[in-house]
Amino acid sequence: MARIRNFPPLRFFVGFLPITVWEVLFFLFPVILIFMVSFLYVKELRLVYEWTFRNYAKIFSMLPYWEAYLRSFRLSLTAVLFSAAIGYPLAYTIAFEISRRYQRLLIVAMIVPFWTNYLIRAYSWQIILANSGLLNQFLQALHVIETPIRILYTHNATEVGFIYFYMVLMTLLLYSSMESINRDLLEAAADLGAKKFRTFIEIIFPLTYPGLIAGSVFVFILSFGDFVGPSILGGGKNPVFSQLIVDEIQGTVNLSMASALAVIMVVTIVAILILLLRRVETATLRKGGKPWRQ
Amino acid sequence: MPGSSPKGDPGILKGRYSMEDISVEFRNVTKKFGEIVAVDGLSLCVRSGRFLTLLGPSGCGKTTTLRMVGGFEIPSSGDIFLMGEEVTYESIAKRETHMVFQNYALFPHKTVAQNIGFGLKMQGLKKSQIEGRVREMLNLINLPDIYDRMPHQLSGGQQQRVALARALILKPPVLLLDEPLGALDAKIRKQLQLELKQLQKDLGITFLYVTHDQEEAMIMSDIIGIMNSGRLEQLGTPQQIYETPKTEFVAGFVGECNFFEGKVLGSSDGLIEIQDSSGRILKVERHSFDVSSLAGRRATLAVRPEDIEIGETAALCVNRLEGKIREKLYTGVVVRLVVEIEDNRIIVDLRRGISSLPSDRIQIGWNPDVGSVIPKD
Repeated sequence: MARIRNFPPLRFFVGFLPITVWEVLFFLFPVILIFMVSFLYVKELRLVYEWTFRNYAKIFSMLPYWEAYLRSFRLSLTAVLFSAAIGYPLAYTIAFEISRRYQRLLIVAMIVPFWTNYLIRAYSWQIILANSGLLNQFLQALHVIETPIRILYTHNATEVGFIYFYMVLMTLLLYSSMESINRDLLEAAADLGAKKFRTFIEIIFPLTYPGLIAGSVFVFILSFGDFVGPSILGGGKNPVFSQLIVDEIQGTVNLSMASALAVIMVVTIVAILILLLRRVETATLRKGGKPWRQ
Repeated sequence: MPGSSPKGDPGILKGRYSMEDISVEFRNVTKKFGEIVAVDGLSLCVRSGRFLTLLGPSGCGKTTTLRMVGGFEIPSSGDIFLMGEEVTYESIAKRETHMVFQNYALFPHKTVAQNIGFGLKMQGLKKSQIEGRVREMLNLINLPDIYDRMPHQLSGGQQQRVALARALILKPPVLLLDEPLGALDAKIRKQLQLELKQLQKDLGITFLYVTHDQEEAMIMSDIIGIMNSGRLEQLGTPQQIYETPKTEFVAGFVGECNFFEGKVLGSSDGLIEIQDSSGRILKVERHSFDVSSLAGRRATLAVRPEDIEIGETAALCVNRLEGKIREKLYTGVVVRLVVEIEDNRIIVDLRRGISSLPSDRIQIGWNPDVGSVIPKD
């Protein structure tokens, strides 16, 4: 009867109940529903309850879907790279170059815009990036350019938005992993002759690698699934993958097609999640005595 | 530097010193953190190849002193010299000193070999050269088989040795050690104390060692510097520190000590006479004191517990007192008595063999050849 004795008391599960019910009802169930609907098809605006692969066949065989997918992928990947490129120096400066008193202040200053409504921030970028916007006016006033550069309603604007929206997450994750580095390690490195840049390469970068991966996951997934940013800043001419889903629902009311696209998106995200988080695991645990490699 | 005279203890610096002889010198170094003075006007010379320990309670400034040698802190005023060259504002990376940290500070993502070879890698040596030197170091610390291990797979003692090897591989003229054994359990600590001491002798490198453990300092050091609230209280060999403490702080910090306060009357037959508040006269050998400058001043006589006799032996002593036994403590090595004399509690350590003790009143005594006079300002 040892097993029953080790069985946790009932109250142990009570706390899990609300979240379980919530997750099942509003997450698991809809996802399963989408998955199932993606194998149905729509005829004359009505779902036909007959299993089929025709949605997937259509997506995989038509170039615009591929283009949109790759566009999303490229934009999200670029967002990851830029976030890391901006986030590393920023996090480094806050964590190591600024006195502890001002660290919190800077972190808060960085987060505050993050609390502003997403739509408002997106529209604000319109004001800056439009043909007659602040940026173009500024550049013209300086005589850097004669005619306005077209940024708004291209995916350059989308990219600016992505980087601006999600860079904060990357920086916060990098900052927190830098914060947890024992300062003695940096002193030891310096003591053994490493200059600042070398210390960064040899010590700080490897030790913040889990933070970088976690940040990349966040930035990639949020950019990949973002629909508002690309719509408001990138326009609709060259849609990203998430815009296609919305188009299928709003335009042709093709629920099954939209579901199939959504499934592809979810599979992509889960694949990336598994791939990257596994790297974090090996980087953090470093079990088995193998030399840690990047 | 040329022409200047050393400010350390003249006993340590016999005669004129040449620049090669001094590996570390502090000249009137003060370090402030905001309003707090961590190190206060420290002047100190360390001769090459010596094992010098800075000993003191936490917050006494010993670690700050060490860190200033390594370049981890910059003095607020004063100068620091390494091998005759001023390094006060030199960057950490450029200094030839290397540090062994209290918590080892091994790079957790690097193997033992990568840790030990880090300094050589920074100097731009080739992998093959580094490997040979690393294997040499692993043999030196008697751990030849851990080349590919990760730090977290090692015991605390092993990690400490790896940290030592990592600092020693660059052959520093001065090794800085910041309570390197503090985190280890007593048995391994004792063993490593002896190993460290032996290693230091073999290599002939100056060790600048920081600890708050007085026993550790006594066992390992050639020279001990006792620090208290940022000041160097006394510098000397372990024997000098123990037998002739110059301040009450030193006497009380290193080992147990009994204090008798009084006024110096003068000297007779080479003995200093001190009169305590109840009129008793205690006598002590002069050592190096200039008695005429002491006469009339208040002073403390410090006597070690193991130097005090009881019973019949005490009756034959020059200095005799009578008191009540308050406590009898059996410590294994000695039997410790706490004797109350007026409002002074005197500790007496007796060798174990002595079993029959008077139960109440007891006579204690000691001769003038033990004890030291500490003048009060």
